[in-house]
Amino acid sequence: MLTIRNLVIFSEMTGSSNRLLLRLNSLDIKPGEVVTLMGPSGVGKSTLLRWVLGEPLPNFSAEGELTLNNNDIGQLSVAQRRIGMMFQKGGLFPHMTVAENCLFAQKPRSTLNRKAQAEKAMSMLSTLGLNDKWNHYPHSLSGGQYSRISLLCALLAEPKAMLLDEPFSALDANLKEEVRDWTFQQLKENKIPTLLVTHDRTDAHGRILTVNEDKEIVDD
Amino acid sequence: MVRALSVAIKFAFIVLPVGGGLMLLLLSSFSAESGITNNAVYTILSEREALVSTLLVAVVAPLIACYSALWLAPGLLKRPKLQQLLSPVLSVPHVAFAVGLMLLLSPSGWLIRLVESITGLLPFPPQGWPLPEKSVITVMVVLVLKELPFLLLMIAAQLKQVPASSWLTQAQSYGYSQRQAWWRGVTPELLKRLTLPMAAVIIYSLSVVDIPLLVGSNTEALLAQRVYEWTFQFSPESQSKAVTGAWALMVIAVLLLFLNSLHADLYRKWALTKALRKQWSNTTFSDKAAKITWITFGFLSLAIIAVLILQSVASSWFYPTLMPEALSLNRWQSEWHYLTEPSFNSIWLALTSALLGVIFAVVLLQHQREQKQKRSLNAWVLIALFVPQVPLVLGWQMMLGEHLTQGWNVMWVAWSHTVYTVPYAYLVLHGAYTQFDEQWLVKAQSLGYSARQAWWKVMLPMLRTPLATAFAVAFSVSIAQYLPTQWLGHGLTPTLTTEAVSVASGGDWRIGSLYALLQTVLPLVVFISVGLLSTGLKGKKTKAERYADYS
Repeated sequence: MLTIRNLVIFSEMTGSSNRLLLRLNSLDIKPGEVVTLMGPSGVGKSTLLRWVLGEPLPNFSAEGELTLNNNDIGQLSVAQRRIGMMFQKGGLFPHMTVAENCLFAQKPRSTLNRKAQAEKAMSMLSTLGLNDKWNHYPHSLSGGQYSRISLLCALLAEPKAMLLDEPFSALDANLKEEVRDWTFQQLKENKIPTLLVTHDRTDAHGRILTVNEDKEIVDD
Repeated sequence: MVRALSVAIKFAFIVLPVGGGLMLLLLSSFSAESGITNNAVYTILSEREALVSTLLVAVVAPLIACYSALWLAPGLLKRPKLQQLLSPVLSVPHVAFAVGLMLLLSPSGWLIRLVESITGLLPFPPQGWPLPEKSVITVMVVLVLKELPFLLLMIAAQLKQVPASSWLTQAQSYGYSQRQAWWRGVTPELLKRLTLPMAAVIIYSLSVVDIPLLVGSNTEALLAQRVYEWTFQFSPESQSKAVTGAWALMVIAVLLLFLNSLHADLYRKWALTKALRKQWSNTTFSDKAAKITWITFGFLSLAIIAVLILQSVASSWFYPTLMPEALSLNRWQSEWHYLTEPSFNSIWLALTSALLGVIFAVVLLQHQREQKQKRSLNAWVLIALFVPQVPLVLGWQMMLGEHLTQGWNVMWVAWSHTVYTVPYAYLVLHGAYTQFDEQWLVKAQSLGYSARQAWWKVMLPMLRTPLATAFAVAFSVSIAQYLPTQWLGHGLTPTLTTEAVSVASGGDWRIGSLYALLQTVLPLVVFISVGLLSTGLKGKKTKAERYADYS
């Protein structure tokens, strides 16, 4: 379970006091559950995700407790937190083939040997009917194929929680629904607690949170 | 019009120098008098130490510079302003850098004196010091330190084109540490993009002559240095050795360029297959060491200029005193007469060839922009950088023959400098020029400006900063030219570089420091002017920016 308690994020202003960007008193995301945070651009949704991921926030100061499966991960590096990500842009390394992306994602954490890693990735690709893309570079994939393989790589890295930042916004309407349903199904099957941020209500899933006028994240 | 100009420039500054030069070298190789002979081939092959040292310098120095630059480059991501430090360091010519480094790091250098003054452990210059005044290692150290800012600048340009920060985060979310994410996720792509700059660095290290003349071993000369010496011995036998040596350099160059083309791919395979070591700490020892190296690098550059100034005004300065016993301008006054002509030649050659280099690079880039599909770096424009200078300039000497003795040599020296300023100006300008947003030109034309007026009144002013930087880089490239100035000038166009080498290679570092200092000051002034121009532009909006505000 991913838990956030008493989080406050300030944006650091030069020459004046810091400005409150976001406040979150308590959030619990259960295994397999997707929680959606909605709001317009600029309210700090992506900054929240970056804080959970463990990225440095040079122009912000943040305080709060972050636990994953009852372990405090607030002071750990990005690599140690075991939190996967899938953002609007990127997700696959353009200079690596699909095969290389899959193997690259497994290298740090997988206990399997290289051959078994390749077989695991190949079998997951086969279930998507994309095994013929094994030696292709990401630029040759369609939008839907790219998104699915991107999530597949994130899952191959064996994350214990997942962050999604507008992951479907680049897809056209027909494809969006198909990829979205598949993504949520995968996250549920793998029992991964997931925090999704989006400004598009059609992309929302599960419990929906919004940011109120006092900059506080509350249930919609 | 642009197409015709582009063809003319390609012919005069790419095809003629590279094709013509190598063709003449090839023809002369069959000459009965001074062509390649079995004897000459045997002599070259028996110069085993020269060949080994040459390979060592051409392979190891570029590789150390390349991986050091990659190791330091994450600093550019965190603090992009560091890039501003690189251009002035890059502007210090190799020869001045070598003289300054020797004055700092030789057994009686300033840093040794500093250690002695603090610890009292070195009352005499240390014996067996790892960086003697003349050795292959010293040549390599100078080359590594001088190529490092060039490669960092090339990496900085690439980091603007790849989303390296996102890749780092992505890789860290897979479980890689920050450093591992850099070396495994980002570096393979950067190395691929560094293939052409690395080719230029390798070829430069293979055929450099002025640095080994200054700080190289006299007994174990490098091959390029041997060829250079043979050309000044006018017997047919020596000429034959020179031509054979030049071809040996060409063969080594082809071999090294081939290996260089495999480098990025080999690294990529290593990065994907080599097992990871556990490295969990976020700020590793390596990060701290990289930070210290950046600071040391900044201090080293300042210290080189400081020691050149001190040495030039020191009237007596015996070991181990830290500061000169007495300061005077005597050396400047006595040398001034000899300094004026080289300074004048350096300035006009650099101004002319830098201006021509930038104009020609703009023409070539404009032609490339008009051919919309071809926006990547055109390796053909850079080809002069991929041919070792010794055989190339030897070919020019043969090609130009009598023209060089009829008072035309000054023009040919300017031409030879322009052959090298064009590719460097092209390299600096390429990114900004090819990625210039077409929309600005379309908007200007929609307001009634012709295509030419839009280019002149909107595009060029908006590209003023990269144009000024390209001019500054081209200026310092011209200032640093040694071999073409020496061989095509027949000694009639002495420049600060040729004089600095001839004075300092004789062991007179004190007089050498005057030439080295002036050699450093000229490009530095241009770089500072460029910096001021860019800063001034930020405060005062150009017509183009005002236009951009209102459109």
